[in-house]
Amino acid sequence: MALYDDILAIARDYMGPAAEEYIQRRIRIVQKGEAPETITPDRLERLAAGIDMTAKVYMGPTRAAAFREEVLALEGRYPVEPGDD
Amino acid sequence: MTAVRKTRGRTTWRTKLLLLLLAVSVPPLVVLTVWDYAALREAFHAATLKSLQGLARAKAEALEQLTQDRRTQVERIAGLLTPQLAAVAQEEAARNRRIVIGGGEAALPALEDAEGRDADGRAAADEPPAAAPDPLRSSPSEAMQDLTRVLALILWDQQQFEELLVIDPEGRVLASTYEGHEGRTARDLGYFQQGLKTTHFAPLFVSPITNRLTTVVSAPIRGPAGNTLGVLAARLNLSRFFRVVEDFTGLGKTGETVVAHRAGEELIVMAPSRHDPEAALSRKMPLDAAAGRPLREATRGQAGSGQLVDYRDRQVLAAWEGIPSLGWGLVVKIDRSEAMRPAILAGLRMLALTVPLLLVVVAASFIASRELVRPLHQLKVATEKISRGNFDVEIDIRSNDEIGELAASFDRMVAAIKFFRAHQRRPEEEEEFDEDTV
Repeated sequence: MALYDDILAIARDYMGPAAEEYIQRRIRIVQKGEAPETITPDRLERLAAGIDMTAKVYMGPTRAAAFREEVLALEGRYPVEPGDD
Repeated sequence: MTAVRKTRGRTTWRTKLLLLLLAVSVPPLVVLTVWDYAALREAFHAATLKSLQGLARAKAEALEQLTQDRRTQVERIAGLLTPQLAAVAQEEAARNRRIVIGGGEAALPALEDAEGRDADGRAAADEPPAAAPDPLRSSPSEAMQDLTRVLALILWDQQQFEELLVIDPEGRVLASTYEGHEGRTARDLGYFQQGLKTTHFAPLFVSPITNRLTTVVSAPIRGPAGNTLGVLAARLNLSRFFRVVEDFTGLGKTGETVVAHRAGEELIVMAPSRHDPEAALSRKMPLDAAAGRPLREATRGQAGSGQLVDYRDRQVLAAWEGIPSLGWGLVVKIDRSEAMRPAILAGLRMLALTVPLLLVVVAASFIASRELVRPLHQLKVATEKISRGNFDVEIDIRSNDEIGELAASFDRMVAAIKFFRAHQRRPEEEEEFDEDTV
């Protein structure tokens, strides 16, 4: 839940009121249908890749890249534990 | 017409900002420069007047001291001559030779070198009568020879005198270092009459002998009992006086010293000046003339200083002092244009610094206004695009301030609008796209 909140906080900086809907969509895809709030750190890389691809549609490539980097940076705070994958 | 009015009435934010920047930078710079220059001029003005006051005081004191020195010298010489004159008087009495002055048995010619002459050196009387034979001169006694010798020695020793005369109480010139004056009468001359009573400094006159300005200091020669045996008259060499007046140290190229004497309702210049070498005794001005105010005050013994118009109709800075022992006034002055030249040069230097500085300030204001308005302009253009349905906008503002925050908010807003628009129209496509991509 904490990881999801942090991702949402980052997304709000880039997507404003559309952040929650956008990020839920993105997480749902990488979670393969599981609840977005249950996202684990091992999914961050795929999430970041998805953000990089789709965010460019809504913002410039520079901001999209920054968005992706911030999400990826969460791996430092939430290390992947064995068995997560 | 409406469009024209709109264009005319519209003042861009950049123009406003530029005007604001200029308003807060240019007027203070200009005011500061002008104020600095005014203060500089005032300081120069005051410093020059102070310097002139010092010069005037020093010159007045020097002339005063010279006058006192000459008085003292003449009194001392008069004291030295007492034995010789007493011996001559005694011898005369013994010989019982009496000369009647101004008529009678042996009228004497008037003294040639006298204060009654005008500036050209012409005698007040038409022609002096020819010298009558003087019994004392025709057969000089030992006492008379002694007196003449002593006078000659003193004159040789005292370079500041041009002539020394010993006059008996009746006005007859008994002895003189200028031979032509012996046997003549000085009975009607002011310096003789005053000299019988006390030490006297006569007004300046032109000596017909030397054709130079001179004056006579006279003092009584007293006998041992305090009786007046005669008068010593010393005609002065005024070169040292004039050296003080004509010393232009500290007076630049236009400064000069003017000394004048008050005679009735006139001020008479008593010495040559830089701009008028012939001024002595010939330049006169009415007492109430505007240009004569400093001299008038100075002859009254009042000191002062200020800016005024001189006899050449020039603006000058001047300081004045009185010379009480002579009854003269002294004015030291310098042309204002010369005195203030350093201030004007300093002002030009200030201007040479200020003008480029002003240009830099204007250029900086122009650049600053452009740079400050640039992000706003970007936002304005982007907003205009969106308002016309074009959401394909990107702004590049990276400043870490309110404008940067505004730009970030704008980006968020645009991203959200794009997202919602995309998902309202074709959510399935989006999902498919995402699925495919990821």
